[in-house]
Amino acid sequence: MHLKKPHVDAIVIAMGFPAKEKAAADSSPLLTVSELTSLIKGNLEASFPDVTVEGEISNAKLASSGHFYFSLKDENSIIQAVMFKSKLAALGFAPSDGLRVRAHGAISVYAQRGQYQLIVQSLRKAGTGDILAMLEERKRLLASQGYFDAERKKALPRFPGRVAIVTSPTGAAIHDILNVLGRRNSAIDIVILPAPVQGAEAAPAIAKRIEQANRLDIADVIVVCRGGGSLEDLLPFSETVVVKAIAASRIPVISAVGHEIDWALSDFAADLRAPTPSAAAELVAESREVLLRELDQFQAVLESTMRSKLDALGASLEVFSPELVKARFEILSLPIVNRLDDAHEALVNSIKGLLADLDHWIALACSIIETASPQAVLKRGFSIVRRVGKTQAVSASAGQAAASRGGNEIVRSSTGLEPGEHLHISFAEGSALADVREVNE
Amino acid sequence: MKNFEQRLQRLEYLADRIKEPDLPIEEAMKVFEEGMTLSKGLRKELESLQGKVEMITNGPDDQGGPDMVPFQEVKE
Repeated sequence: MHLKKPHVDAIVIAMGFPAKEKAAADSSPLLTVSELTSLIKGNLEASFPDVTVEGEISNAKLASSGHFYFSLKDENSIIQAVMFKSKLAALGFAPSDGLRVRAHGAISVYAQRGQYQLIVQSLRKAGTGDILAMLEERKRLLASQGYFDAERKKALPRFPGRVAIVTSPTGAAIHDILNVLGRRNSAIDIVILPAPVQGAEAAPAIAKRIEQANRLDIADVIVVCRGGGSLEDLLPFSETVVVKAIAASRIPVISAVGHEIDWALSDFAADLRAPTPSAAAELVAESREVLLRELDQFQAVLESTMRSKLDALGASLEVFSPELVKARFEILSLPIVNRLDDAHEALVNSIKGLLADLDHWIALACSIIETASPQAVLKRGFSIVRRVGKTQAVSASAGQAAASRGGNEIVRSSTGLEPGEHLHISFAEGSALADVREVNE
Repeated sequence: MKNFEQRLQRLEYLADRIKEPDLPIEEAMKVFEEGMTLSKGLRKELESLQGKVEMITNGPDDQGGPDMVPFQEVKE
């Protein structure tokens, strides 16, 4: 511990501790830790209220409070830093380990930990200022030429049976994609169109692969991708030649460059941007599952609609079931049956009456006829006299035969009769032949 | 046979059509049968897919058909 004292004194001197209080090692003023820390804090914070420091991020950690803790380091030194949530939200990128940044802020002493740290007010990627400005300018130019127009965007097929991947065959992107597709058991055909994804030859190669995929009509969807890297590494995907090839592609293109936070101009030209190659693979793999679910739904719609239609039809047919039809017919036919019954009864009754009347009439007629019968007249003592003629046979039987033949007229008057003329007389019983002796008119 | 997307669109159309309330029942039966056949066919096709991974060996400027080899992943 004795080694520490001169060291502390040295700091105190450096910080401008009042010289008059300087004393020999043994007689230096006794300070509490808090007093000392307070002195350090006052000096340090006053000295560095406004600094800009460049370094590489390490130990990046986003606290649950939303504050971002990290270290800035270079080859020899390291300094703690914190960026509060409110400032972090305004950041255009997600700071991560390995990223070179320029941090602007103030030094603060954290008394409880005995640490000093940089309170970062603003952060930007180191050395990216020029590149970003160049990309922004190119983006503006390409946008003004219509390469990013929303109308250009093609819909992705809902089920890409075959997917072309333009990427490095040895890169992280293809590894991630195959990983996801394997895990998802996507059953989608993949054809890899190998191309370097960084360096000067990358952009023209990527563009040519996109053209080739279209020329050979090699797939339903093209994924243009690479894994994460520095801004410079991703630059080929922002090259005009790549942007134009994507815009010209007849086959829909998904751009998946770097990590979520990264972007390239290919993202703007593509029909769809996936935040990462894995995400692109998820999109592609999902399509089959989504489609199978859709098929389920279509089938359910067909079945349920058909069933409800048939049910409705059954309900309308129920009106015509045999039992109901019979009942309905009975209801309809009842009045007719009644009328028929009534008519039948009326008819029968009428016939009976008619027959009774007829009987009566017949009996009446019989009695009338009987009354009118010549026999009845004869019985009352009248006789029928017919002329037989003078020269004819005179037997009574011959006269009767002649009378029945109707040959002789019935005598109704004495006029015309002559004495000696034969007459046939019919009685109620029997007959007689008589001669006329005298005629009185 | 029409391609997958066309058949899928046809199925979509049929699923809409069968919902029309004044569709005659004979027509609905036809729609139903065609739709179910399509749906089963598409499903079978989806489920029977194997999924192969190939790499084109043609250079980007090569004309003619693509030459493919099965892709064997090589880690960097």
